[in-house]
Amino acid sequence: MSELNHEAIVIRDLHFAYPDGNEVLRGVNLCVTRGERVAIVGPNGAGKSTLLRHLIGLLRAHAGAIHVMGHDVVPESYRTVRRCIGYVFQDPDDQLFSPSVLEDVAFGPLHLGLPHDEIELRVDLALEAVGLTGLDHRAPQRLSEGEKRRVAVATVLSYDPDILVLDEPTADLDPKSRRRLIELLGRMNRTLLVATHDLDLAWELCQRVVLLRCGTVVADGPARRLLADAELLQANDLELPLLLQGRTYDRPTS
Amino acid sequence: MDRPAGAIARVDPRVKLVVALVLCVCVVTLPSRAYMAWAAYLAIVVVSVLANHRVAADIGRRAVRPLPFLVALVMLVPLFRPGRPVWQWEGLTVSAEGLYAAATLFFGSLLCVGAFAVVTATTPEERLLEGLRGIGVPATVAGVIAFMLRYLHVLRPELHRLRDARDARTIGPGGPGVVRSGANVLGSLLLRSFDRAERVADAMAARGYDGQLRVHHRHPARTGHVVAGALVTAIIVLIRVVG
Repeated sequence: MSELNHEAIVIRDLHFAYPDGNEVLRGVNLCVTRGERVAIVGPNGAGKSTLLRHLIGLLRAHAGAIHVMGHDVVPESYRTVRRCIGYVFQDPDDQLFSPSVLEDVAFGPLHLGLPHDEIELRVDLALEAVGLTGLDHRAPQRLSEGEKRRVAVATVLSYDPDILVLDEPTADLDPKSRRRLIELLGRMNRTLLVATHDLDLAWELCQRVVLLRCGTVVADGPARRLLADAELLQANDLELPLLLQGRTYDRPTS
Repeated sequence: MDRPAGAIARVDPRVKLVVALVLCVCVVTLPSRAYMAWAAYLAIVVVSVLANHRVAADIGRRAVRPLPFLVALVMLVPLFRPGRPVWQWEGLTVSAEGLYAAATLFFGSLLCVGAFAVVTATTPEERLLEGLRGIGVPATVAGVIAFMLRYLHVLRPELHRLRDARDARTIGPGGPGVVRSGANVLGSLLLRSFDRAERVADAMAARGYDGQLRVHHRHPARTGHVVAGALVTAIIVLIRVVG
């Protein structure tokens, strides 16, 4: 139990298969300490998103156990656990379902039952944190992809979760928006768990990398060591981060 | 366009919706021969269009859209309204009273459609939804409309992408295959919509949704808007009483 008090997330021997029989998680073990920044990397179909969805009870494990901030993740504790975790989905159009940015950012605090003035304050602070003050009355469909992604982060910051969980946060972003998002996440002073293919993001943002393949953890260690291991990455259908490749595209000569 | 131009665009959507609703109730209960009142209501709608002349074309488009349905409905009225026959054919009789009632229904409906075209053309969708909730439309109904509007903007580009992907691989003459592939596109869109709905439900659950939809607003109605709305509403009701 004392271990649970120091750990933000503890996953023990997690197994899960979809109804079609596809076994996606095969005994995942993972501990994330409070305040730690961890990237989960792996090829397509490795089980990254499936693993994250278990953390807030969107999927239920067939075997194994998950603890979030000391709470068992079971149906009775879903509300408590979801209050601890700010989950940013891969597609911001799934995350931003309200007619305006204001309503979306206020959704979490409102469903926590906070008073009107407190919600107002939290919305303002969350939008300020992501650098989008003044966009509160904008409709989500009128935002750029980068703005949508930042508003998606604001929608979870507004209820002040202990842990931020992000699923492919830089997918579909142009370089400038990607850079802004990385800087924004870099300023977050809370536990961070990011599932990503973007190994450069993992290099810049995270202290630790967990390499997932076929539903099992094949490597777990400091980001700077794992992400520099070309052999390990290649064996798991990944490549060195671009900034370590130190090469540019050479135009082939005819 | 975030904020449509024009005087009425700045008015609180709740006030606009209430005025438009009162106008509609007065119009549909107005006797056919109250010509002065009809003219007055027409003047109110025309003035509200002119006050927003920058979006007049948009108002026109919105008012014209329901016309085919309206005409189809109105054409049936003279056939079923008993009265002095003016034309007969194969057992069908068109009565003078029926023609009169049809003209009244057509003109009245046009005024109502015009009033709501002004409201919708001068109010951004998100503010319109706030207005609907503000005048007491049940949260579930307003929520369904909100989701529909929000995801129309997502599904439309998705449909275009699917159609483009199909067209890019459609080679040779058309025929039954085109219809089949069109059906496939719609089928794919339906399946993607189901997937999207599941993901949205997950996103809502992740942020504490417990089956009861709550909404946060930031727009207290301004006294000036309420007073102006009350004045216009009073004029509309007075025309109905006098007319």
